[in-house]
Amino acid sequence: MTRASAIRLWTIVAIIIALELVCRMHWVRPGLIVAPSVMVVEMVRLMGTAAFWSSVWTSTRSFLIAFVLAMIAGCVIGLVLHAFPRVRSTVEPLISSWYALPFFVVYPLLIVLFGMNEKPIILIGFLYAVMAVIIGVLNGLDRIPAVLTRTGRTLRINSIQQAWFVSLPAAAPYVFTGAKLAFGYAITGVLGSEFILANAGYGYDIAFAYNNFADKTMYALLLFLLVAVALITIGLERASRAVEHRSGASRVSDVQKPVTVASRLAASLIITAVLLSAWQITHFVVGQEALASPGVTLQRLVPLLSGEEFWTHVRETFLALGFSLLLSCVLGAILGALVGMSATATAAVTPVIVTLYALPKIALYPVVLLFFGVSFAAKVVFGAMYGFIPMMLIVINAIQSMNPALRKTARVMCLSQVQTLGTVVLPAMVPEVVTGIRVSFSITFLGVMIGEMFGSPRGLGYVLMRSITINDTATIMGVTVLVGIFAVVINSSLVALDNAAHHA
Amino acid sequence: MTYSPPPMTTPGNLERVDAPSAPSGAPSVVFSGVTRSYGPVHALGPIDLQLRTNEFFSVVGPSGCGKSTMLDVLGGLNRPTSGEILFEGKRVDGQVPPGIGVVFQEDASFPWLTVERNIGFGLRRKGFPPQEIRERVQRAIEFMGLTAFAKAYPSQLSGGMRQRVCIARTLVMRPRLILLDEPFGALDQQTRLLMGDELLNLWRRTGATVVLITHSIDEAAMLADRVGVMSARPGRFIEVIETGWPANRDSRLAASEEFGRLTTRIWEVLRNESIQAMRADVTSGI
Repeated sequence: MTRASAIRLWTIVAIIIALELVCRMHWVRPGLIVAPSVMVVEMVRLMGTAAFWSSVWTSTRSFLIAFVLAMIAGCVIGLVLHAFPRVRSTVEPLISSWYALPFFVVYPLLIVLFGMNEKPIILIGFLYAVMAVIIGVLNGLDRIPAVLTRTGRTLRINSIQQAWFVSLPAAAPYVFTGAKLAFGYAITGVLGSEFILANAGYGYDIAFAYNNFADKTMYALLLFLLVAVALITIGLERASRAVEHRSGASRVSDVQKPVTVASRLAASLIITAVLLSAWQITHFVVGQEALASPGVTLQRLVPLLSGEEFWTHVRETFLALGFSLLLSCVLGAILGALVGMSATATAAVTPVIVTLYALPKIALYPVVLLFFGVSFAAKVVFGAMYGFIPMMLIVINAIQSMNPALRKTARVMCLSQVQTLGTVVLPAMVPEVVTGIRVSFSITFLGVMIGEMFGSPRGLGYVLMRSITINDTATIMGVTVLVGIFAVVINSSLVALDNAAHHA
Repeated sequence: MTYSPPPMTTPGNLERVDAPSAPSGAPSVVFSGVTRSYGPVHALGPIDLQLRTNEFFSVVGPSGCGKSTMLDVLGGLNRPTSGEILFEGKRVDGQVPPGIGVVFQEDASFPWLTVERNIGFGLRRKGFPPQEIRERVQRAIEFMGLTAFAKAYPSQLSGGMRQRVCIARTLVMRPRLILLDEPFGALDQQTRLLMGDELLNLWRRTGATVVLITHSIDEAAMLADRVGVMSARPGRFIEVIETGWPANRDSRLAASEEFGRLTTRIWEVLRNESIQAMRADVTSGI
């Protein structure tokens, strides 16, 4: 066993023992957390019940359907987009903003449209996962090395042989990466939706346990989820590594995409026009009660926006977002820097963090609520939980992959550790920190929104959930659109900042 | 000191290529007034050149002069803007004709296939019988010194070994014309010299016509029967120099006086073109 794995193993064991001790000695108020031994016992007991496996199956079924649909649709759409570059560049802003959109915001709308059953849940999982597949397919096709295609031509193979024997295997590694991501997204989407609002499923069980003060059960369910996700993640990583040597070195994309401000603007306008038309048509099909038209929504938005109450909610959300972002970026950057400076620490810590990240964090919200109650702090902590891991991973990676010649130069100049950190490491890290902020923003925003949708008396998320209970579809659409626009605008600005930082 | 070639080694196990479809004595390749432009940019030509069957011809010229373009056009990967290329008497016009093999500078081995499967790739696509594929692949593996790595994947091999795989993959198709575009560019000097010797060996055994594009004056001078010195863009042949080396040469001829005279002569012709090419880069803001 390597030193890193040993450190990791013993650290985890130590944490478990410490937790057990803390609970047994009642150093923490009972009701906040449950001893690991109790968690395990309860988990084993649950696994003996039929109801447990029924819930597991409900969620698994939803997630599998979402995943398979995402793979099929994603591959087809990816192939089509790659074949028609004009269409692709028009859709480009949508592709790059997709994961900036807080999907769960659309969930109430889908419930209104499809009813409270597994359909909206599967749809959320699908929406989340499909873009990862599309991006993977596009990436794979982009990165087929030109020299391999030319080799095929010199061997005089026809275009079908070219596609099947050269393009497909060359693109496969990237498509596989997209599939792995889609897998995680589908699980998160399904569990998250079930958690927010559902009447069956594993996520619903967790929410139910929380709402009924059944801490033991809740923690047992979370433990089972953690173990399952960890095993799946490890399995996927092993599988990837086994075929890694057949995938070839990572290659630079051969596609040059000329992007002017004008073309991006035109593309965004076209997308907006298409979405508005789709909205109007859907409205015609399903009727006013199910989905308010754009016109009605706009009418409803005006009094909404001019009302004082609305802006109170907006302020609440923004404040939460601001604090959350600050917390996640600062925490993530500091922890990332500390871990990244040591190769051993990186090797020990990174797999744990990656596994934690794969866990649908929404399932941890009850734990946050237990500790912080239904409060502003709970939202901030929850959002930060979402955002600090990617920040940390990005900073770790930035330090580890920093040009070693830079640090050697610092040593030759006899700089102290602090000087090295301040004058060499930190400036080198700036572009990556900007990327981290960009990635963190969307994810933190999502976390804050989810936090508000579940058990919060204020904020835009609360407004959304309230509208669903009184079936106010116009407000649902209005808030959804506003939130979407906000997310996309901020994300685009951060992308521009990111590009600028990397070219400086 | 004058160069005396090493004693002729015993013939190896590689079969000679199929007899060319043109009558012997006729040139294998003919360029007539060939140019290639990309829009307003005149990249190559006019080229007028004839290559003898079983000749080893190398092209050396400054960066960006159009050497690779010439090879693309000859191999049928690009069509000439004007002029005509004949390979064995038939026009080459944007389609890769049968009987040509190309080795590129970048690593073109398929990372998802083993060395064995890589080499047999072209044969499998053309529907050769499995027994024949096995035999040809086996012979090529032995010839290129890849026996110990037959089941390995390219990612497990060094750059030099991967190029050998690419050469072997071309070999098994028994091409009558082999085009190499700076095949050893990514390798270190010592490996380059050894690979050059192996290329000569291959050329002698198969009887194919070989066109080698290179940056290296030494390499061009050492390996070729004739060296074509190309001008800065648009590339034209300023001079074609006969080296006069015997067929059974190897890299040790670099120690001879004739080699020194040859490379000096090539550089004298090339030097001004290189300076011009460098100036063109600077003024165009590259």
